[in-house]
Amino acid sequence: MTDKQLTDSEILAKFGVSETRNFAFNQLVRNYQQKVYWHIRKMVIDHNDADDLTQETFIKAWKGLENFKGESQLFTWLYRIATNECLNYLAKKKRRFFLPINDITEELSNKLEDSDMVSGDEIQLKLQKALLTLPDKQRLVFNMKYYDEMKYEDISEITGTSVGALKASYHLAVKKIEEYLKNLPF
Amino acid sequence: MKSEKFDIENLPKENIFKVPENYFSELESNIHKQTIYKRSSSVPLRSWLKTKAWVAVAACTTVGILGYLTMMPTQESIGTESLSGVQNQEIVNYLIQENTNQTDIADQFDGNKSIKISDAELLDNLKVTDKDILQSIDFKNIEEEI
Repeated sequence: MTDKQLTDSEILAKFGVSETRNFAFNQLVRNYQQKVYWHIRKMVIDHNDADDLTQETFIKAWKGLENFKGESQLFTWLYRIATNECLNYLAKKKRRFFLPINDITEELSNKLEDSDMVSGDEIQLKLQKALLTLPDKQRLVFNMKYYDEMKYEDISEITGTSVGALKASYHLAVKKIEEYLKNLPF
Repeated sequence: MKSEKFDIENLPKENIFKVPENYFSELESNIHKQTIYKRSSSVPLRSWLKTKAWVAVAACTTVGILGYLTMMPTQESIGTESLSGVQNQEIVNYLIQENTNQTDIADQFDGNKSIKISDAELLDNLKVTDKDILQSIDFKNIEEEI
């Protein structure tokens, strides 16, 4: 086998054949593991949590890929699994410890202070802290639009939210962040 | 201008998060361990090969148990029938070899009507000489009784 990166349709075609199934899944992991990991990491902040959730995402992808009908793009399908994993994890975390949202924000914010796992200038750190003040779904939309530069249509496929609602959500998120940063001492 | 400073669209988009060294190559192998390797090692065993082995073991066990229950000798089955094919001489020789009491041997033959044996044959088989008989007779008591 060559190291040439397969396209999504090639991966799906090879996954459908039992002899090349493992190879196809290897390619899928290789193509998307970093994107999926960073998507999750920006949401849960902690590396170990992101690691667990990334693995869980690919295990679910392995189990579900057989039934993937190709109605959506492969990467949006993977992002949808990862997104659900993140949102469920954060919701569970809040329920488990009966923590108000502010406490969760503070907990995640404290993890940003860990210099072993986070680096960057002050403004970038403050931007991340500002992001943590947003509701989870709005933060998710912001990350996909701002950092991943995804099209609204793709974000819509992943989140199941209309393009119009996503545009409004992103616009609102930007305003909140700028307002938050404006009030911080520099 | 403060407002320009916080225009996030003009900020460089940096990823401030770090990962341990070689993390992504380890992640790839961890995912494979939990998906491909697990599945490929378990599929053949879960299929017909494993089932066939268990069926064979179960069949052998069943045949063995049925065979044992059918062929197992019962108390009733051990008797004259089981000894019918054995020559009398062989039985006697066996009993002598086992140092069985001579009286018990005689009792055995008296009680077993299926075995016909004459006194002369018996004495011969027991290897008792006339001299032995005379020595064992208490002549004094015999005379008194007479």
